Amino acid sequence: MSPREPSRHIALLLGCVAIAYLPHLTYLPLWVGGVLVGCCGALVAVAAGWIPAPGRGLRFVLAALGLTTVALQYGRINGADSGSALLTLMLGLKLLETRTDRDRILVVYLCFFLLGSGFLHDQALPGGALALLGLLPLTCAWILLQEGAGRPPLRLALRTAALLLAQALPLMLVLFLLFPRLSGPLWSIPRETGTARIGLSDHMAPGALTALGQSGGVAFRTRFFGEVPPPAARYWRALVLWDYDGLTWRNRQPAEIGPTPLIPRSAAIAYEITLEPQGQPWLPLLDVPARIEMPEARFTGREALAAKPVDERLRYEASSYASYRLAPEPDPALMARALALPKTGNAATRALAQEWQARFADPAERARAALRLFREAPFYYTLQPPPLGPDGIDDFLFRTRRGFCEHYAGAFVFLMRAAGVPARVVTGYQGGETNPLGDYLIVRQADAHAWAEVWLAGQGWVRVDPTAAVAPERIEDGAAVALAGELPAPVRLLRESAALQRLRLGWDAVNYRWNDWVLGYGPDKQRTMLTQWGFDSVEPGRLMGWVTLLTVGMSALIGWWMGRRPAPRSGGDPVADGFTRLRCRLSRAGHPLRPGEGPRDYLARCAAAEPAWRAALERLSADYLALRYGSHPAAEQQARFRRAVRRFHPRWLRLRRRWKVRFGRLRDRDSADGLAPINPDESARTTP
Amino acid sequence: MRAMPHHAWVLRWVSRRHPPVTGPITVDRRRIYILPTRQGWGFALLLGTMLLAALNYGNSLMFVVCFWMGGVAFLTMHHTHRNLLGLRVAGQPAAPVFAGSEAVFGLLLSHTGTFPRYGLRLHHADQTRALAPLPADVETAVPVAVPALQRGRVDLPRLGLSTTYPLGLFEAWTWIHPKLETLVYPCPAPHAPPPVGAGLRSGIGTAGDHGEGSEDYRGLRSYRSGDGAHTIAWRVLARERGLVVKQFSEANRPEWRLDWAQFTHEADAERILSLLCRQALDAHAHGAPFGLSLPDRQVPLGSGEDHLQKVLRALALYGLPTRETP
Repeated sequence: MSPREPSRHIALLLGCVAIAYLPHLTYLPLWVGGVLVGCCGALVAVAAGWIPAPGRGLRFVLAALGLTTVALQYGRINGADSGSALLTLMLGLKLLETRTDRDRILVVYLCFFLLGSGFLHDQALPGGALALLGLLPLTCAWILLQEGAGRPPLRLALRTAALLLAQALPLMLVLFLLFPRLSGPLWSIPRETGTARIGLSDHMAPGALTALGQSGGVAFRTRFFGEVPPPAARYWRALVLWDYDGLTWRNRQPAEIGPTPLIPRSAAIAYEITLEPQGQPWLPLLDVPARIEMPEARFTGREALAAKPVDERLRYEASSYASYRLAPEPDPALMARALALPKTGNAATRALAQEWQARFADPAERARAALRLFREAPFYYTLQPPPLGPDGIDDFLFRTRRGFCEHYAGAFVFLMRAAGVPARVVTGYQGGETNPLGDYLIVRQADAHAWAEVWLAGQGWVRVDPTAAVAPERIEDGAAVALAGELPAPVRLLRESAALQRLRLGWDAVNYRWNDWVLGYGPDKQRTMLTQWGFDSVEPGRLMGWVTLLTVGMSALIGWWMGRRPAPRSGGDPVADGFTRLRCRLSRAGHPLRPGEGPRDYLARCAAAEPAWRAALERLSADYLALRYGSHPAAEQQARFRRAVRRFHPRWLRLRRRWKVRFGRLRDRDSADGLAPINPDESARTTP
Repeated sequence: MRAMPHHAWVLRWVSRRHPPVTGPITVDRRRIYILPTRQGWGFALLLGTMLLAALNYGNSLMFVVCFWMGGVAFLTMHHTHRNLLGLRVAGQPAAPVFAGSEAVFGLLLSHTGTFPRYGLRLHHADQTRALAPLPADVETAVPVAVPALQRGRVDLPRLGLSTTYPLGLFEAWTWIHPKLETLVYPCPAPHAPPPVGAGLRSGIGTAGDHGEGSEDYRGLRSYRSGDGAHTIAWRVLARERGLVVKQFSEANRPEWRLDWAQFTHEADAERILSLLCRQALDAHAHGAPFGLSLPDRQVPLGSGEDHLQKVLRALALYGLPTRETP
């Protein structure tokens, strides 16, 4: 049986474990937390002498069991989440054998690691910043658990920990800014299942976007380098759907391999997008994108795709054209695909389309006829459309006439194809809320949208948004306004109350900055910023040189500051303290007090030695003597004396005088102060 | 002591660099050495692992934790260093002892800092002792027991003072060597034959057979500094009648002449010294005047505590080169 732990150690260890595990509480499986709590309980029970300390065999069995369970649960042990789970189990097992001081310190080390690994899961604002605060209690416990430290009181340990962290802050900033970052991972980062992301899916069926329409989540944020386009022009293109099977729009085969030819007809709009994780590879871009600054991204058609699904926040710059010609020359294979329809179904719709085809020779006229239909018949824009039968488009166009954007886009494309006009569905986002506090747009999942493109000879692909014909306010004011009556009450309240709105936007702006500056500080941002600051090279070697130089320099500065001899205190006698301070300053300036010398003689000697100090020292000496030996020293005289001591900087006065002498700027006022004429030899002689 | 080196060549260099010093020592920057401890290297390994993870995942806040704690670890160097800086160490001399026991020197530690010094350790020979926290402006005495194995002199050896406070990542240490020595009297032999001149009275060879009932008992007088503990009248003291000593008539007392020549048949000089030591103690216990004659020096007849010390000192230093006494 091991010797019992003092209860103070137990309390400290348990506190550390709680702080380190808190960030993991929400996502690690319940049994991991249970094991940790069990180990904490065992630690207490062993310390209290209720149970014997578990032997090595038992600990080994527990470790093997934990490892196997984690491997079974996650399918691997070296991922971020599985690693955190393993670390937690290790910490728990270590708690079972805290016999020596070294064991206890190891527990603290593991707690630091566990706290850090929590950021692999979540580094968003409130949680992330709060977890950083955990460093203070952990450091404090570290001090208190030191072997043979003589039990420093908690307050002193806390002060030392806070001082250490405060002193290390500038070092941390330098390292954070300058430490070379890698552009890719060192080893492949496994993707872990079980994290459902919300975002646009790769197909579109009635009801697919309505789920997104009710989500308050942010899809991406964007900042324009120039003028912000008006709301009606904010179409964010994500992907194009070609193939219809009577129910769902999807791509049964890759649509276009290379980028579609684009002829710009206006100035480029440059902007930057910060995409939230969405679990899909598409990168939304302002319609119609021309260029994306991301080496791993590629264009198929005019849609940008990342190399792999976006599982963490991603930033990219891009440029787009508001006015353009897209694919002016038709590609026969694609044209056939853009006209394909299922063999049967939706007979009424086909009949209507064929009638238009017979009536209007110009394909553009047929499109206008369809929009007229949407505008003039009683169509409604709603998040809760009634269910549709097997002939969904017939049902929608002639019976229910209530739908969300995917109903309108799908029906429109069907009509166009049936009328002999090449058409396709485009999904993405439309709109975006301006955040005046942060000078950027927030585009939410609720802004998800679907529209259509028709191919017209001489113009190429032209965007047509049938939803705009039904609900123009959807395009002008956003989905939230268009659907105001249908949103849940709390969401509505949040949108309608001005104060809450400001608070929400303010918080979003803070988040955006945090994501931008802290979390998004990667190799690209580092390069841009350091170049802006005038670093001529951002090579890792050069950066490490700077890091070393600055850390060592700052550390030396802190060491010097800490090594200064603190002025001895007399304990409640301000006049004596003032004189001590004066004595220390004079001593540092090269005039220490001689043994047996009284204050008056001492100050007189110093004044005689350094003309620059004479006036000040004479006043100080008179004040000191009056305060010390006078009959009725006034309180304000004491305050004046202390103030004068505080302001008396002998080395600085000497330097200033020397400066003036050297540059001949010693004015008459100074020499009229009762000073002897300055002799350069004399000032040289008094130099220590 | 974890970081402090123990190699012979280091210790030789230390002896040259920090020779014994008379008077108090103030621990300044030139006396302080600092190196990372094993725990420190362990923490560096931990931070390295964390850095790899942060680099791999490009995780900013993990970088922050890593760099922040790295900064803290690096800066504890100054804190550990400051924990020794400005410490004042003064040696306290030890009382002379008999060979085979321990000479107890003392260290007076003090400082004028604004914060108490925690986590100081004293290293002496192979032992390490944790010291209690040193509050500011208070002198703390720390006893240092040095084994006195051999007759002669014993020096306070070089001591180490170290600290790893606050985080145990660095160990700062200093070598202090106050120049202090004390005498080691020969170990008294268990028994010794009565000396020349004591033979007049038979049966006197061991101490303790005298007392209040002794015919030589003359009376009591008040205690004077230098009186031996064995002459104090403890029973009187126990009745709370003051500190007095028993006096014995010296007129009847024979003189004890402790002579080297008496033991010339003994092969070992140390053995002779130890026999003489026993004789001196016995003589003092009897209160008899005694003198000492050694081949190289004589101590004239005398009695009392001071005289005993003088005789013992002569025995301790017999045959040793003279040295400047502290």
